[in-house]
Amino acid sequence: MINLKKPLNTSILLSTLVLSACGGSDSTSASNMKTYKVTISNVTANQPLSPATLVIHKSGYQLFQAGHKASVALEKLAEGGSNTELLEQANKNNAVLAKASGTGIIPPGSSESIELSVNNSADFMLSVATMLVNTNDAFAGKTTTKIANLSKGASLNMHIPIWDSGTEANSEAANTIPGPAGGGEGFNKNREDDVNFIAIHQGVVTHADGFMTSALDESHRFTNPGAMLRIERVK
Amino acid sequence: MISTSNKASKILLGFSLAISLFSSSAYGKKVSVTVQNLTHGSHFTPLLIAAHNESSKLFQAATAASAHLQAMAEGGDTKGLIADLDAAGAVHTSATALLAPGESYTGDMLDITNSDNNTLSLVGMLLPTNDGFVGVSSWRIPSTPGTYILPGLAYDAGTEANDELLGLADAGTPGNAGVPGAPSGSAGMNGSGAAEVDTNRKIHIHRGVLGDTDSTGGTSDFDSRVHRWLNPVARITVTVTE
Repeated sequence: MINLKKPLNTSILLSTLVLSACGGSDSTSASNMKTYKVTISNVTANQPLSPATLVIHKSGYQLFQAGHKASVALEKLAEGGSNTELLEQANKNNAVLAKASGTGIIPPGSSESIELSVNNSADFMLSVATMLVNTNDAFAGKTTTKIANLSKGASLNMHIPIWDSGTEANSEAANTIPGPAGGGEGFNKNREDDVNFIAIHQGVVTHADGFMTSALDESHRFTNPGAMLRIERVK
Repeated sequence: MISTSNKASKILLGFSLAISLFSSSAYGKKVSVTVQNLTHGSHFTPLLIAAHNESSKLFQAATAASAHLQAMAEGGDTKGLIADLDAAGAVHTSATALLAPGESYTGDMLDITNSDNNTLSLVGMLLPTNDGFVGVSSWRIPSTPGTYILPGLAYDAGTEANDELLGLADAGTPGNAGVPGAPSGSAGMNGSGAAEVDTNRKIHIHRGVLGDTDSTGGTSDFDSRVHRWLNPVARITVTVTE
């Protein structure tokens, strides 16, 4: 995947140049408007995803950073599936150009498409996050995917890895799992019983593997990626 | 620069002649694909590697498996998928043997000169699993010559419960329960079944095999110390040449 990036970006850039050369000068500055259809597919076996969080932004905004402390807003998403505070904070950030929430839970095997429009000539990026609700504090997320140079009709397909927000111990106890496997508590501000930094998730253990106090069964296990991301520039 | 030494590519060129009149590609373009099995103790059934057009697919995550994909994922049978590829004018190459852990397979060069077969897919069943397979789905072949590395992910076809049981009759036949084999050995017997249903009936990322450490009972006939894996299960090396 690493080697893939440069040649692809180059080809996107080239096709943009060709297109703009053919397009002539009939369009004015108002045509900086670009619309993206972002599709998130839940490819886990049995982990419903909380309503998706989508932010298009310039540098100066970070939804989350690997190895760093989660913001309280991200903790609320990772532990309880709520993106309200993340979107409120995005709204106040000057680097944010567009934001959106999914309409609801994305069940395993389902996809949701959300359109966002941006009227800006900056080299902007897309960041996304959503909770795996049958966990303590796992979320699928991908940050800073550059999309500004995507030509009309072109698309990107990417994997979304699963992270542990590091804000809640992975007890897997029913009273700490907000999804249908537990029906327990979501957000709890206490972070003292975990590492307090964001890392790739180590997976869930479940009672099928001898963790007898776990509310999870073998169907709740996962490997990476947890979701697929498709970004298509439609206008 | 267009090779005329290969009959298959000649036929392909004939087929795509009408299209090639409008194609901007005035040079040959070939793709070589190598798959290395990165697992500790799981084999791949004979791999199918294809370059096809953008509207064709071998499989797509979060959609239901086709009957032909199911036959590959549950028993390693790629005949149906190959027929689909031929009908779509795709070029493909197949391995003839299992790919053992650590081993690599390089397919025949795929000639996509003057064709719209600019999308790459590959599949092979993972053994032992019920309906797990290593796959790459519709990866756009770059126009720039070079070597590209992709992760090969393990998917679950969503067509069979992951009971992890060996020794059931005709286990590799689509629709039948059970696992057709564990070529690396170390498997047990008389498990009670690791799972009864597939919650997600669409193609999804495999949650991994469970296994256990009881070779004469327990829930699974797999050995959790030997047969587990994490993604990626394969390293795919794609070389694009002109």
